[in-house]
Amino acid sequence: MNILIVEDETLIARSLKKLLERKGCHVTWESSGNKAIETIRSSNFDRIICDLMLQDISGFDVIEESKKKYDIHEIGNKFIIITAYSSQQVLIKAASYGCIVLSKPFENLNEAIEIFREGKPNDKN
Amino acid sequence: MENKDSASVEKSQSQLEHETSLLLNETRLLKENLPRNDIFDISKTTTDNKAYAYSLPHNKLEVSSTQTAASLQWLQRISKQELITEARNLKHLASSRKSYRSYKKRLNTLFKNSEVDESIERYFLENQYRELYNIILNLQSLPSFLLTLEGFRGYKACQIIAHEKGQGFAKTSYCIDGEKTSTRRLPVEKFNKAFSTVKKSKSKLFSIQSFPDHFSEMIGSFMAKSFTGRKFNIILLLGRNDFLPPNEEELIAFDGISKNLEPIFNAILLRSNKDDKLLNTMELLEGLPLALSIKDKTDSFLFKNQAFEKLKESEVRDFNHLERNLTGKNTLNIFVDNSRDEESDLYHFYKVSLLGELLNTLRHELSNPLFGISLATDFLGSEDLDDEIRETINDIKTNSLRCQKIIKDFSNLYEAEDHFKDFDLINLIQETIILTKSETRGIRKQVDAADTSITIFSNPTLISQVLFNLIINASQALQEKYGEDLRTSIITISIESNSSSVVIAVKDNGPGVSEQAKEKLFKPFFTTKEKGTGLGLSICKNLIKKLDGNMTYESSAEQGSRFIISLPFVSQ
Repeated sequence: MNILIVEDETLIARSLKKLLERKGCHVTWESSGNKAIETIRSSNFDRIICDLMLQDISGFDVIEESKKKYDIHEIGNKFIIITAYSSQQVLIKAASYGCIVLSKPFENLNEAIEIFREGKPNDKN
Repeated sequence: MENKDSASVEKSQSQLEHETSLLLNETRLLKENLPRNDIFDISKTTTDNKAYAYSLPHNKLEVSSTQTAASLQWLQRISKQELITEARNLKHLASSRKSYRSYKKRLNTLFKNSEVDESIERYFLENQYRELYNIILNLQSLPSFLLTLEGFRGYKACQIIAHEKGQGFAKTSYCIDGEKTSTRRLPVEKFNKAFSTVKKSKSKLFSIQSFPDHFSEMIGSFMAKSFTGRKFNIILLLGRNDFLPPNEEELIAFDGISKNLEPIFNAILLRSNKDDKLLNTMELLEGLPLALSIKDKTDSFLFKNQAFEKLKESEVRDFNHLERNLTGKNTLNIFVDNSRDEESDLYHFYKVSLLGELLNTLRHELSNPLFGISLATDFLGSEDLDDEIRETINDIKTNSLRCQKIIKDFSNLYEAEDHFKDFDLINLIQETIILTKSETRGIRKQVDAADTSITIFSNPTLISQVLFNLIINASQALQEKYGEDLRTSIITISIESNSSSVVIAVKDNGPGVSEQAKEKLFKPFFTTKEKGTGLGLSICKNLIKKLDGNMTYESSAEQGSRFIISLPFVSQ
């Protein structure tokens, strides 16, 4: 499984990367939004875990750019937003892309890891 | 047409000059030749309305009433011995004569289209009518002025009630002999009832029983007239504060004068919006807890507010004095007490919101790195490690989780203003109590609720701010009553909820609020504290209104105060 982490907080990104790698995933990490866009353009990922408040641009900008490559259904399945600011506006905007939002800090780490690997929980049903 | 008008003005001007100089000579002679208290031998020989003839000791005087009302009136009063011919009066007449030309011109242009009755000159000294237009800027000052009119001599009380169409209230201005005019608002229903009573009545004569309760401050029998304007309806009341009905002559005079007031009312009310603004500004300045005054160039006061009046000479030295130049060579003086800033409610609110911002920033800045730490410990903890390292990593994890929890708990209290969410009210109250710990030291605090947890959907930040303020207020009241010995003092916060609303009551066993203070409790700038700004409770009430709730005050059964906040109970 090919996973991209877009997150500017080094400690979070590095730990997540290690945790997912231990579960057998192949993980790429980008700390800036613009670099992430380039990477998404050039490589294929099964899952993109994207922070919203990046140093350069918003995580939503990354998703918007990705629409050039993926259709809306793929966007909803590939992208998982992680954010410390899960306001109503954020939730609504995420819903418009069909993405799920996990707010930081995760309430249950194991569950979060599971969602990163498997995608939306109800997709399995 | 206009030429003809000005010609007649010229004519009456020269006539007046001639007649008044005659009068002056006559009176001078009278004064010199007659013993004091002797009746002047002036008698009215013609009683025709248009022309009067007076025989004087040395002359015979014939005048037309429409031309020289002032001199006539003056003459009449001399003949009745009402007027002592002092230099002051002569001067008065001379000046009135001087301004006659400009007055007449002004009247002609101002009231070209409105009906000015001929009798105007019978009842107003010329300069009085002019004054009426120039000086009286609002209805508030009109009653006191009307009482100075010669035509209203003997009247003691005057009230003007004006209702601007479409407004929910009417404004009344009442003046009794020599006292300051008092103004207040009247519900429009009362006004309408009284207005139609006055309008329908033929007699113009009323007693207080004819009107709704608390409508007027008048006593005894009085006269009333209604005016219907385009934007305003007005009732004029005039009385002598006794129970004797006015005689025929007085009724005619009232009619004549009030008829001529109509253009004045219109002119005044045209400026009324501006006046309202001015009045509001004045009220605001009056009540401002900042001592300020306006002086004119001769250093006499044009305006002083309440705080300025209270300012003691001795204190002024400790105040910062600011002086600003205003237009017309007036100066604005403001006295600022530096020592009060830190203790004021405004400062407190500023402090609270600053703290909120700070906590929010802290939360956002800290939560990411803290999350990183706990994620890292999760990852490290699952490695194969010896016990000591594992234990240390576990400690790091526990501590970082604890930090996250502390930040989360506090940021619940200070979220953005428009942030509505589900939260536990009881928990919020307990957290707020913790925040007031230092101010309420020694006072028992109790939370009464049937449930251990009540989840509502509202704005926790605002509710916490209001509770914070109420608890601080209560503790200040308690400290005022019990001093150092706070053992019996208690603040009780009780929560009751039903399907539609949540009621939070903050009660203390302090001194309570006096009856007079109760009414004004939630008004801005009302305070009983020496150094309060009177903004705390009014802000609280507004915050609760923002949440679709209401805040009221009740004296509790035992002594003390009880503030009740009711909020809509919305839960998901």
